[in-house]
Amino acid sequence: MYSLLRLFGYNLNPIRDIESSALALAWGWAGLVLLLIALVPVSWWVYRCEGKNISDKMRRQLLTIRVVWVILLAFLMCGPVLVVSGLVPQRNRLAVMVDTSRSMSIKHKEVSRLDQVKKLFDSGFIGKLADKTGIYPEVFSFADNVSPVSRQEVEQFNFSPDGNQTDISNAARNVVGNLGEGSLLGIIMLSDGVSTTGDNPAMALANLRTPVHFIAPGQEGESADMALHLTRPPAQGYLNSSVRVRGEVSLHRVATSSVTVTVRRNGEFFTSATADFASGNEKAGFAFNIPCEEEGSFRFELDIPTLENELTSENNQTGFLLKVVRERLNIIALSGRLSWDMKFIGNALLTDPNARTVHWARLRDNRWVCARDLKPEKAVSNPDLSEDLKLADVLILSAADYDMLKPIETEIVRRVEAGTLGLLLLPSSKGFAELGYQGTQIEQLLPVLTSSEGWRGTPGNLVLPSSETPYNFLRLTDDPIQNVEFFATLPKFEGVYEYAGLKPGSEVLISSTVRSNSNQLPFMIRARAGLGNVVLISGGPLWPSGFRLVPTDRGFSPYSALIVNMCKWLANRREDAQVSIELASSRGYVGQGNNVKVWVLNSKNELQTNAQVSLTITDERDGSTSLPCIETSDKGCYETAFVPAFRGLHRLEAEARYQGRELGRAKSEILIEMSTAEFDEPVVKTSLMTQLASDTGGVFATIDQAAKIIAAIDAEPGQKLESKSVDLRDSWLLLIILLLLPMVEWYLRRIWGLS
Amino acid sequence: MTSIKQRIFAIILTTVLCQASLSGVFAADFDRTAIPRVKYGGGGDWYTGPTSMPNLLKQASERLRLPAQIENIAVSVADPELFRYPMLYLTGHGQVRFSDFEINTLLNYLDNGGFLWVNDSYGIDRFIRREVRRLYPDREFEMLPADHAIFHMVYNFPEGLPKIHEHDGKPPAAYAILDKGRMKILYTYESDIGDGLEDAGIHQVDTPEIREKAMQMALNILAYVMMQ
Repeated sequence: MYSLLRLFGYNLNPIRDIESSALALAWGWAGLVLLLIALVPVSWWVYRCEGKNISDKMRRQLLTIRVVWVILLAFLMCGPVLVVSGLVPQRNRLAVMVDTSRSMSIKHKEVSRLDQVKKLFDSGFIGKLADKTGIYPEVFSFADNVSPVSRQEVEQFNFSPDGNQTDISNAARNVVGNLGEGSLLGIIMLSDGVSTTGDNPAMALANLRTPVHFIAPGQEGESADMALHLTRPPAQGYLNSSVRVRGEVSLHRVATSSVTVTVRRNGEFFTSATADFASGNEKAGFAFNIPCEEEGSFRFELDIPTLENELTSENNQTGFLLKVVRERLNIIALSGRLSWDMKFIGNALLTDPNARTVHWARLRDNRWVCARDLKPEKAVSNPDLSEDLKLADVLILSAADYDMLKPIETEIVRRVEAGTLGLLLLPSSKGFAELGYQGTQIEQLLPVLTSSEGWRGTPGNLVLPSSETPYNFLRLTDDPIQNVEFFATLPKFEGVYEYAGLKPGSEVLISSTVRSNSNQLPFMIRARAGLGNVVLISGGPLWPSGFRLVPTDRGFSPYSALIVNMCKWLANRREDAQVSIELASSRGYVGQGNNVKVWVLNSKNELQTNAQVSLTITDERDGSTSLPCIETSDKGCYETAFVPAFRGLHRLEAEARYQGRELGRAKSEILIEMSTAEFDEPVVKTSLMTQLASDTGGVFATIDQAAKIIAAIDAEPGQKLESKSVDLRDSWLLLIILLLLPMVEWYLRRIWGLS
Repeated sequence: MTSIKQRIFAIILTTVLCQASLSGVFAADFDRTAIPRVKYGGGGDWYTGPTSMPNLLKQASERLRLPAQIENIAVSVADPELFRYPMLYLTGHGQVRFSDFEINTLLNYLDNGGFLWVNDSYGIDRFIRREVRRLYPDREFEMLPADHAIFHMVYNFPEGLPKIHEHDGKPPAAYAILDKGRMKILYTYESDIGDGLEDAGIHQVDTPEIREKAMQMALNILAYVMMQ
């Protein structure tokens, strides 16, 4: 068949020996039949006008020529393609793969595994392979990825054990894919067999038709080792709770009944835990609790003792970062009486699932009622407010007489000034003097001078400053002009308190037109008290006005967003309001990618699309990198990835902008460690490599027995089954036949005297 | 015949006079709570017991330190002014009917923090249940147990809702429409707390003790509403 196809002039290279073939038509066989049905009547019509009688023999000859021509024409019109398959001889290739993962730095008798490979190469191993096969091997290094290594680099032994993980399966598949399995005489893998990631090598390599030979530097069970692992270390803890940390210590050729794990927090001794080994067990768990007593990020480092001549000490320590946060936005409200304002503020706050409210209101005779998350409880006498205050992030005071605050006054002032408690003061029918604040510590926190104060009960509108407010909680619509209009068109409130003046440093956030449009009075005033924020609302009632928005097209949400965002700002949780960073883990590894998600909300607490989000990463050496975040398919979510080059604490700061305006910033931290995965099981995997070699038709040898591998390499060239499609129209001979047939008929008709 | 004509005239005259006395809806002053009664359709006497809410607000001001607007105010559910008030009071003896628009507005009001107290003065039960089903087709009235906070907020009612006015000899019961724990509608059935809140002498059978009990329960309701 090969000769026949060659005779017709078809190019079959590189196939020399056809194993199988298949004919296909571009139009399909049905197309051929339809064509024949169409062409036969046409031919018949062309030839039907024959005027003379001819013999049957002549008729048969002419008919045969016509039929053959029509069939051939129809066949060629249908686009015939012949698919031929055959074996193609391959050029011999041999792959040598050197494991450069960190586990190759483990030393055996003071010589690292990679140094043993170097010794082997120095002894002329590559040259001997070349002599045996007649080809110079293709050399690769592999760990996380596979890289080809030049001949010069091989001669200089330019390998370093810096890969954080090993994927034997991927490495073998990659090399086979690159070099072509048909041409490969074999793969020689110099590795300790520690595969820390990817598919199970036993499954992946079993499908290869190329023999994989293993040369193991070092022997299984040669040295003792202890390893420390943490089981999903906690990333976040909540204030006034505790987190439990669990881990495991594993032993190899170490006889001991217990191992002490030392825990340090921010470099100082924190606690110790013991892993007790049952008889015959090589693994034992340990656990300890971390009480979260203060907010912040804490770096925990754990280690176990290092043995003399231990295989590696890199797996004797580990660490994690614990961020202690307040679980909720806790708001405590104290009212000197039942308050409508507080009822609606509570409803607004509870639109945030993370907000928790405690509202204490005093009735007559020192009886108080309390509602937790708006669930009222029965009245009690003289309650102890200090417990609720301790958990609070924001304190709201509404007509709270000084005698109510006196027992907790010092604590309020201390916490506000420390920045751990925000203070919101609401207006009431009583002024500060009547409430008894004058001359108290509480008065020191007020943003206004209370030497004179008077209620101006004239309805008025709210006025935002004409310049864009820097306070996100006051941005209820994205457009600054619309935002100003929004506040201006809120239902009028009944009046404001007029004070003697503002204290130095106080800032008017919203004004009112109560006095006049041109001579406005402060409505919302903020001041800083130490590290904390204080906001005074001098007029009202604003909240029922907000409630009146409900039947309008604006809905209730801008009002709720104002309250929630203001409380978050007061609680010094600015990052919670607009931008937040989401990390898959608070711990990452050098050289490995870390995905960072940044969630962006606008001033209405709606997820923001089309924002410009960037992430700045600063390492402990103060080296910083800025990365743009790409918007994901999740609304309001932006993502980027970074690969840390150094270990240590990395600070992340995300900034989100929309149409050039800053929406907010968020900060987070990630602790970058050197991965210990390569050292989790540091012993040489002799049995695994023996099995893999056996499954693929290869040979396993220790580094001292490398000559066995050279002897096992089969130098015979390989062959590869290849397929080729041949267009049968691509033949001069066929064209000649196609033209010759009508000419023959014409000639016969001429000599037989036919028309 | 004359007697019937006189009765009809008397009813019309009474209605006109009552409505005239309630003319206009007063704006709630700053920081002062008002509780308007709901003007509803259907023919029921929504205006019954005009002194009950002023009396309640007066006592709330004195006993609970609640700044109150002590007036008898009425508001239609369709009126946008509805949203000025934290709580609505509905009472009567007969047919209660809301239009579709009123149902939507009332739903909006209740779902955004408002509260409706329905006091059964007698004969309202069938109609109010029908209208509440229109408001919340997927919810049923839940009977409040005696240990519910509303019976213990300020004054203690260990037995639950007190009996103020005798109707059919049935026990009193408090029903509520609750949403994630928040009470949106309270329906006090077979108790008639509203009667007990009225001025002394209007209902001769209500002794001062009975009237005090009614006031205490109503103050409990008010305190509960203002805290939730």
